[in-house]
Amino acid sequence: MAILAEKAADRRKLFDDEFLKKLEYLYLVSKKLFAGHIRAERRTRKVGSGIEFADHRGYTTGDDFRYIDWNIYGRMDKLLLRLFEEEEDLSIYMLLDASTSMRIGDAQPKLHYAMKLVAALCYIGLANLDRVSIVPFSDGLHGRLPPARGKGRIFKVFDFLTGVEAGGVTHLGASLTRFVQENKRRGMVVVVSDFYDPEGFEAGLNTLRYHKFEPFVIQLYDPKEANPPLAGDLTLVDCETGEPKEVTISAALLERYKREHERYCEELSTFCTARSIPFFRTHTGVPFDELVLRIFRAGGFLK
Amino acid sequence: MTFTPPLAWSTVAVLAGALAALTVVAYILKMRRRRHEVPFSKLWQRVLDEKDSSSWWKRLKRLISLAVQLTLLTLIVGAALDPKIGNAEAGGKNVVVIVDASASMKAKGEGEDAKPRIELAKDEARKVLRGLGGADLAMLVRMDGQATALSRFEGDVPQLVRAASGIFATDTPADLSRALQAAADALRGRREPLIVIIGDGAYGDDMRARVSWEAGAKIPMNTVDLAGIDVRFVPVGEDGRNAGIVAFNVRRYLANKLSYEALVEVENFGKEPEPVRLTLFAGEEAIDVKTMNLAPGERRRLIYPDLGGGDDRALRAQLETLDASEKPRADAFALDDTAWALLPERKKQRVLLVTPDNLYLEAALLLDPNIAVDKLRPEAYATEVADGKLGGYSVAVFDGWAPTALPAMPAIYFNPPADRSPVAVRGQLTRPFITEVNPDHPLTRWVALADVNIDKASALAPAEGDAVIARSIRDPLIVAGKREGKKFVVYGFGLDGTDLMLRVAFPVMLVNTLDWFAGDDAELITTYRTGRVWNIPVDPDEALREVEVRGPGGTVKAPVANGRARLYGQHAGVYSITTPDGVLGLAANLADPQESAIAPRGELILGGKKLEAPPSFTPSVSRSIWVILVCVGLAMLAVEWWTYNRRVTV
Repeated sequence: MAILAEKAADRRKLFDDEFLKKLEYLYLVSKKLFAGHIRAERRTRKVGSGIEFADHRGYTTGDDFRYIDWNIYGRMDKLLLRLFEEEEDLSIYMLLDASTSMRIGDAQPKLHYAMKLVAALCYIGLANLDRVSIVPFSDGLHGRLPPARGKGRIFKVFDFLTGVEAGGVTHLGASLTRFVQENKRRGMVVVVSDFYDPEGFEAGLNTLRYHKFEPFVIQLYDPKEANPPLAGDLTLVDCETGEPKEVTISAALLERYKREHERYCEELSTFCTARSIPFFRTHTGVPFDELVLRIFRAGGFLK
Repeated sequence: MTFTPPLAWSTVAVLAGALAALTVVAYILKMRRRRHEVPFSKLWQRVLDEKDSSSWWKRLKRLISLAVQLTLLTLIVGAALDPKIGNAEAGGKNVVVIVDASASMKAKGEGEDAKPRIELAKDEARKVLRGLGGADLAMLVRMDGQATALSRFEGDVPQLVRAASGIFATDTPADLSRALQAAADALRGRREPLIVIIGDGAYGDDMRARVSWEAGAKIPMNTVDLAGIDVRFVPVGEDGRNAGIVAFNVRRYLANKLSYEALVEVENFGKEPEPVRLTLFAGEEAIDVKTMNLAPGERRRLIYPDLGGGDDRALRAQLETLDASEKPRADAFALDDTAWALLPERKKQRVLLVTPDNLYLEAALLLDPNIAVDKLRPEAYATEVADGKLGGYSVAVFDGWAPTALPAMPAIYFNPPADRSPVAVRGQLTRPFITEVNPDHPLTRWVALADVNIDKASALAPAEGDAVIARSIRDPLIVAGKREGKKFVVYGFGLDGTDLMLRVAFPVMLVNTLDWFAGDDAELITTYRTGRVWNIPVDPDEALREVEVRGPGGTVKAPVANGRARLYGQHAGVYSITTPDGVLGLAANLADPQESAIAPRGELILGGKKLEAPPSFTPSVSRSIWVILVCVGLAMLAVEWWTYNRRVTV
């Protein structure tokens, strides 16, 4: 596994004409999958003053009694308030992990793969006239691409992604706390990361949930992270923390490591599934467009 | 348990300590590991936490590994100390077993099944070696014309027995003094030294006398100091009748090289009269047969004069002992029943005499029947050369004249013109006297030139490499040498102004000159005795460094120094030596009455002391266990390798 030096010139090649054609193809596929939806009619799950019934809740003092469901009151003698989905433009936040560990990858760094994925999802969002924003993070937030809509803004997306600086330790908790503090407008938050956070991923994702954002989790890893070709006496150095560990790699140890990696990924998957958070796991050997199609078919991103 | 350290104990201790310290330091030092970056060390930490739950086992494994290394080191050092277990008493003997492998050990006893003495000696040697005590060390020495150590001092009896079984008898006489000296030198400083001589005891009186037993006594040269050494003797062999050839040589007559004479000496070494038949062969052709009766101890010399005929230069004398019906019967010692000799090569030379007319010179040349002389006048020489008619001549003699070009054959010049002489002329002398003659040159053999009268002569200026044969004070008068690969002799004076041709020296010198040209050497030795180092003249130019010698024992390379090849004669027979100039032959015979006297001695007296039979050694079971230690070490290494590769110990 080698950490490649990040160069802006290398990233330019990520977003060439061929890439743009692929994006267009993906957009057409997305339209085919969800034909009939009108643009900008995707709604947030914000409960508010819309016209489509969403739910009931108990009446409390101060609530607008115009929304009391009198039919229920008549039948059950209970004051329940009718809730409606608030209609507003969907905000899509692309949280891109730009920590040091994302630079790892033999064929291509995870970061490059993540950038292409983010660019593709952004294109779909922009084309659907959603408000799309990109926020790179590691131990904090590293700038942001202001919300934009319309396919024509895709080049700004490319430019922004090309300029993302990778580095730092992954700290989901701190980064996402900072994110919810800076972004009051609720919306979908697509977190593209390897989730290699020494502090754990739970706090960060819960922060999003508690603040009424809709997390959408995509976990990336390099195939050699899951199955490292190591042997002999080594000093393993964490590429983010620099922490060394002396190990003698044996077949049994490697097997245990593989199991441990799988278990970690399963932990993330279980966490997300239990909380109805859309979750996708892939490695960099899978073509990004294939992943995007998988995301489309699974639903959740396209509404 | 006893040890035989290869080094001093202190050195061994220091080495072992240093190696142990190095091993421990290697374990203490932190291993430099290859660095590898991982994206998320927490995963590895989880794995290692699980593994480290048995960290006491990890530490124990490390300690076990160190213990294994130290044990391996101990085993290696232990094996190097050659430990022996069993009753290995501290006072073991140091024994040199000398096995006689001289020519007489080829003698056999009576009867068809009788073993040669050498086989009996090997049996005795094996018996002695197998009887060694546990702490005894033995060294095996083969004694013939040389003393050859076949082992070092060691207690490995099977190894010693194998070495003893490989001994063979040679055709050389025994050199007891040399073997004793070698044994005494090897035993010097060793405890309880013992020499065991196994042989027939047939050694020369002088060798047996040249022994000193007194400690601290002044010892003359060539005397072996055996003070403090226990010397024992194991006699082998039984008496047998033997008559043999003790001398055989042959030479050509100087005046008539077509004929030669041979000398043969035969002797009866038995105690009874022996009827014998002596046959002389030239090649495969018998040229003389004599039957005679040899009285006990009789030595008879036979000279065969005026032998000739046959082209084979190899002569062979064959002696057969006869029974009552005059039929050959087996002899106890066959080696001295055959002897070889080689005749010096026979050459007849054609001489071209170029002279106006010189009766004295012509007559002197005609005296030698080995040469054919043709006369030619100087003015006809150029025509003959041009016609190519001079190719068959082996020597040219120029009298008072010399050709402009050097002839294509060796030449003698008498008073050549200064401008055509192969040797430069630096002046003229009037009535010179020969004041100095080179006595080592073949030309001056049997020649006296001191009172030769010379009217006038040219003082010659020899070139580098030329030999001055005679000079008058400082002026060379006769010079010999080589030009363009052809030998020449220049006389600085003419035969018409000297009384040299009236003297006996003149024809002798001419014959010497022609012999020198032809490469003949009347003193050339072609018959050698075995058991000695032969100095064989092979290269007068002294440029040769090595020659190939093919003989009865096979083909060997012999070094050449100062023009002589040096070769130790181990086998009797005919040898051929290949040199750039051709193939030389020589013959080698035992020719040693002492060896032919095969009657074994039941007792051996050295320096006036009778040698006893060997003592019985203290038998004990002593076994070297270094092999076991090495095997254990290898087994440990194998186990460690296996466990390492199975990642059990990592």
